[in-house]
Parts: sequence; C-alpha cells; structure tokens
Amino acid sequence: MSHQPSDQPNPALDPKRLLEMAMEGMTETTRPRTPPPTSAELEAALPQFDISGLIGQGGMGAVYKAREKKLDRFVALKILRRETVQDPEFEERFVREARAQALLSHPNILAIYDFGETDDFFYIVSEYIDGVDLRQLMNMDRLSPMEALRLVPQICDALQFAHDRGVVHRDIKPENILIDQDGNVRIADFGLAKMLGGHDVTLTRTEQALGTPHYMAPEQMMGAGKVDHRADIYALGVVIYEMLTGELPIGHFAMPSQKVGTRKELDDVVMRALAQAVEDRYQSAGEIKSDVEGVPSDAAPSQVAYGEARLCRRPLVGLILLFVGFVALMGGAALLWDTQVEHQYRHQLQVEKYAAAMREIQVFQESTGKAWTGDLPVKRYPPSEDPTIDALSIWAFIGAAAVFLLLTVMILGFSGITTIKHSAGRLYGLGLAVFVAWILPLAILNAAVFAPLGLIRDQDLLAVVAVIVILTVIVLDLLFLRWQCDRHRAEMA
Amino acid sequence: MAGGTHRFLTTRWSLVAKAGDSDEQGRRAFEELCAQYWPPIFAFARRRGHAPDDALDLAQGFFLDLLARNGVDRADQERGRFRTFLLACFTNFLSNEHDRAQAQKRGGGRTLISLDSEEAEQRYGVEAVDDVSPDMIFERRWALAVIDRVMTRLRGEFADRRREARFKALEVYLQDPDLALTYKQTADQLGMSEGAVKVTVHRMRQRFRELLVEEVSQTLDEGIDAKDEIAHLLAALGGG
Repeated sequence: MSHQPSDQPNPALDPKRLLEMAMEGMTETTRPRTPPPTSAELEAALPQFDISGLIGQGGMGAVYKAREKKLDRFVALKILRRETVQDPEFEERFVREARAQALLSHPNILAIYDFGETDDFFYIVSEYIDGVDLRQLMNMDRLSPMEALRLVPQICDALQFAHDRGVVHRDIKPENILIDQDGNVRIADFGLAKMLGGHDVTLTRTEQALGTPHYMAPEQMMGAGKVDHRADIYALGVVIYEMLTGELPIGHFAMPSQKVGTRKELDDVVMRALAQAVEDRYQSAGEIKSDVEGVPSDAAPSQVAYGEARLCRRPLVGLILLFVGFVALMGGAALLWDTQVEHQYRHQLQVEKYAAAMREIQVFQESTGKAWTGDLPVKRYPPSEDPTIDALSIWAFIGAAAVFLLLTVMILGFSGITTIKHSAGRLYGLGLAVFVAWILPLAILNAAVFAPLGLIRDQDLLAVVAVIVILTVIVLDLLFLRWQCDRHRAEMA
Repeated sequence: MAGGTHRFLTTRWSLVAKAGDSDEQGRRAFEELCAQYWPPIFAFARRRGHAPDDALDLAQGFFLDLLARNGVDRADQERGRFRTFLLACFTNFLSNEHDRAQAQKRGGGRTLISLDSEEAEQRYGVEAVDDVSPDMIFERRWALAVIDRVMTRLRGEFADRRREARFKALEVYLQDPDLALTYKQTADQLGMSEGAVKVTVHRMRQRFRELLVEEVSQTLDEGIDAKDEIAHLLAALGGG
C-alpha cells in the first residue's frame, strides 16, 4: 500500500493562517446556540399566551405556536433572546422594522399582530399559518411547474405591495414563503434581515448560522452599493428557478426549458430576474407577475416542449393489433367461405354422382331382370353430416375472435389515453390513442347506420345516398375523435 | 489516493482502538491512518539524528511492525489521540533495537511507504531550525499532514473537471480575509462574476472547516473535541 499526497502543497499557503481562519470560522458557526426558551419560561414572561409548542428554530431565534388567551386565536410567536443581540442599536431597529412590517397588510404577507420586549426576550406576534413553507413543500414532492407558477403571482403581489411602501424583504428564500392549506401564499419575516443585520446582511450571525448565500443578489453579497427592492427580485428569480428545476442556479446552470421542458418564455423570466446587474433585472415584482401570467397556460410540460418525450406504446400496439387482427379475420373468413363453398360443391357432386349411379343400376336391373352384383360406380357414399354445421362453429369462433380483438384494441386505446394523461408530458400520441380506442365502436356504429341502406332497391338512388351517408358519417367520426382529443388535452392542462 | 474514498461511520481511530485482532475493517482503517501520518514519524526520526535512508527504513519498519502486531493494546493510556499514541509507540520502537530487527522479519518485505529517501528528504525533511525538539517537529509535521490531507480532499471536491484553475486561484482566500478587495480582479481573471467568486470562497471556507474537523476527528477517540485538537495543532505551528 503506497501513499503519496497527490499534489505538492501550494507554497503560497501558510498552514498556520489556514488553521487560524478555520478556527475563527468555527467559533462563529459552532458557537453553542443558546437553547430556545421552554414553554414554561415563555408563559411566565408572556402570560397572555398559552404556548402550544416550538414550531421552528432558525438563526434568528425560535418560533412557537401559541394561543392568545383573550382573543382565543392561534398566533405564531417569534422569540429572540436579548443576550443573543449584542448590538446596542438593535432595540431601535427592532421597533422601527416591526412597525414597518405591521403596516404591510396584504393577503399574501404574514400579518404582524404585536411586538414587544420583556426582560429576557424580544418577541413578535404574528398570524399563525396552518401549512408548510416552500422548502418543505419542495422536499415533500417535486412541485409541478403548474403548481410553481400558481404560487409565483402571489409572491409577486406580496413583494410589489411591500416595495410600493418602501419595505425590502432582503431575505426571500423558500423557508420564508409559507403556503396554507388552501394553497395561498404568505411571506414571512419582512424586514427581519434588516432588523437583525443592519446594513451588512452578509456578515450577520443569522447568515452564518443559516449558511445560505444562494438567494442573495450579487450586490447584496458584496455589501457594496445600496441594496434595494431589486435584491428581492433576484432572490425571487432563484426561488422560481429552484421551484421549476429543483436545483439552485449556480455556475453555468441549464435553462429550465432544457432541464425540465418548461416553456421557453419562462427561461426569459428567470434569466431577467437573475440578471447580475440591477439595471438589467426586472424593475418590479409586478412585471414578473404579468410575464409569468402571460406564459400560455400549457406552461406545464407540453408534448412539444418535452425533448425526451416518447411515443406511448400502447396505442401503437393497439393499432398494429387492429391491422393484423383485421387482416387475419378477413383472410380467415374469406378462406373459410371459400372452403365452405368448395365443400358444398363437392358434396353436391357426390350426391349427384351417386344418384346417377343408382339410376343406372336401376335401369340395368329393370332391363335385365337381374340384381346388380358388381361394385358401386362411386367409391364414397354421400357424407351424412351436413357441411354447414361445421362452418357455423367456425363462424362463431371468428365472431368471438373479432369481439376479443375489439375489446383488446379498445382497452389498449383507453389505457393509452390514461397513461399519456398521467405522464406529465413524458409521453405523446394522444391522437393515436383516441383513434385506437374509438375506431371499433365507431365502426360498429357506422355499420348500424349503413345497414338501412340495404332497403333501398333502386341502384342509382342507393349509390347517391350511400356516398352522402358515408361521407357524413366519416366527417362525424373525425369530429367526434377531435372532440375527444380536445377533451383529454383540456383535462391534462 | 488511498483512504480518501472510505468514510467510516465512527472515527477511524476509535474503530482501530475497538477492533479485535481479526477485524478486517479495523485493520484497514489502521493501515490508512498509518499511511497518512508517516511524514511526522519520518521527520521525528530525522531530527533524532538518523540519516534520510535510515529514517525512512525506521518509519517503514515501525509501521509494518505496528500493523503486523495490531499493536494497539500497547499504548492504552495514549489511546485517546492517534497522534500521541503514534509518537509514544515510535519512541518506544526506537529505544528498542531488537524490535527494529524483528520488524524486518514481520513485515515480510512489504512496503507501506513508497518514497525513496531522497524524495522523502526533499518533501518531508527537517527544517533548518536548530532550537526545535524532535517532539515539536513531530507535532508540526503532524499539523502539516492534516492540512495537506484536507487541502487534497478539498481540491478533489472543488477541482473536478475544469475547475482546477479556479481552485488554484481561489485557495489563497482560505487564509486571508483581507484579500477580499481583490475579488473583482480574480473574478475577471477567471471569467466569473464577483458574486460567484464570493459564493465559491464562502463555500470553500465552510468546506475546509468541515473537512478539517472530519480529518482531525478521525485521529481521535470518541468524546474528544476536535476543536481542542485543532487548537493544539495550531499551537504546534506557532500560532493561536
């Protein structure tokens, strides 16, 4: 077993400095976090609440579900221990930002009910949402692009509303986007980043503890220049990209259309929101909303957009079966028909030969007065069995085979339709599936329509009427199939 | 590189300490640790006045001897840290010429360290500092071995595919926060955005820290704080 370091260490690196840096960082991130206050501790400090339990814990403190006794309603109680805030200006900022947040009364913004401080804590009382945050939602199940795009306008509404009032969120990320049971969005923690971090968001303990600079706009990360509402726009771009693709837009990231087959228009929206330079970016959340809503409603992966979509095999098998079965049945029937005709003809021949021979014998006996002792002139006597009985059972078999074929093809067609509908765009061939599913029922129906034509005795009239009826029926069939297709497509979207 | 791909659930050293004589996993873990930390042993031997050839032979023999004996039980008091264990064993080994002769037999001609003495001398030889004791040299080398290993792993993680050059340009930020002023310049050089450089450096730092704790933990028995050990290594390098 040999061992050599694969590379010479970089001589420019000073091991001592490396370790020192690492140690510094470590005391930052692994500094034992003060445990969240217990329910009893909180109830003692804030007697107006019944604490139901801890529902979340982040770098900024702990969040509890609580019941506000007087109003008998559930609230979310965000607690920040006083000792964790060493910044002397925090108190002033806390009050200012809490007031700013409280002004944001919007259906998509988590409502602030109250805020205050006790000897040990700062606290914010807000609306309690019975639901999940976007991170949890994404972790539970990949959001479909349709679901994602249903959330975006609501997020935009909230941001636009806040931005109009001069409030920048500064920390938009999936954890701060709550979704209630009805699928309505609430954005939480407006201004909290500012409250905690002052101007330099990058270097707050919050950020260190959460360790996710991924949603931060470039200008925000560099701490250079003034950070305005367009930082939220950038963060929203990251969130949209993540919702669509399940990944963060890092490095040379792929367009959502390449990655998951969403429409190209969405690429443009995401790219514009993620523009590095603020002036290239969307200038308002409202613009994102209208662009997203402007994307045609089949923004869900469509057959065309899905590069990797493949033809659903079931209807194809059905079509082949239909063709092969039809040919086989027709051929079989023709063969049988032919055999039967031949069979009957031979039978008839035998009967006639026999009859002729018998007549000759009779003539011989009558003319000579002797009995016939020679061989019979025919070798075989007429077959006693009726040839039509045999054919009947074969016809029955062919009939059964036809019914079986009909059902198989129909099942293949209909299950093809269902599969395609549930494939989220990975399969195409809906038209074919509909055709295969309905062709035989339609054929039977058509035959029923054509049957009365047999009653027309006048050949000229029959020709004219038949042409009209057949054309009409074909047009009706096609319209019916088209309608079926549209119906299924509508259900897919 | 050997051992880089294995991740044991418990720390490797505690695995070794617990392993019985026939435990294959414990044995492998031990081999990997030894292969990783031979440079400090070599440096220690050099400082004690052995010639490069001899020092390498000694190190070689020592490790083979350790491996052949599964000689973990010999240093019970030292068990908590692989570093102190290894040094105690080696000192013991050096003071016992008999052991040395035995080692050649036990090792059966196997090679653990595949460097020639010249190369070893060049890369891991003793610095020309006279007032440093062999123990101090050992500890300093140990710290360097840890960092070397962490950097190699970090490089392996970051420098996959075409990011080699990027890593080379950015690794200097690991040690100097004041260099932040040059982000823009570096970003231009690498064709990256300044934001991307910042994010990458942030992640490199974080990962360096994680790997450091991981590597150091591998030489410690459970229950010993990696941070104390890191602080000790930092002190060995003359800092902290």
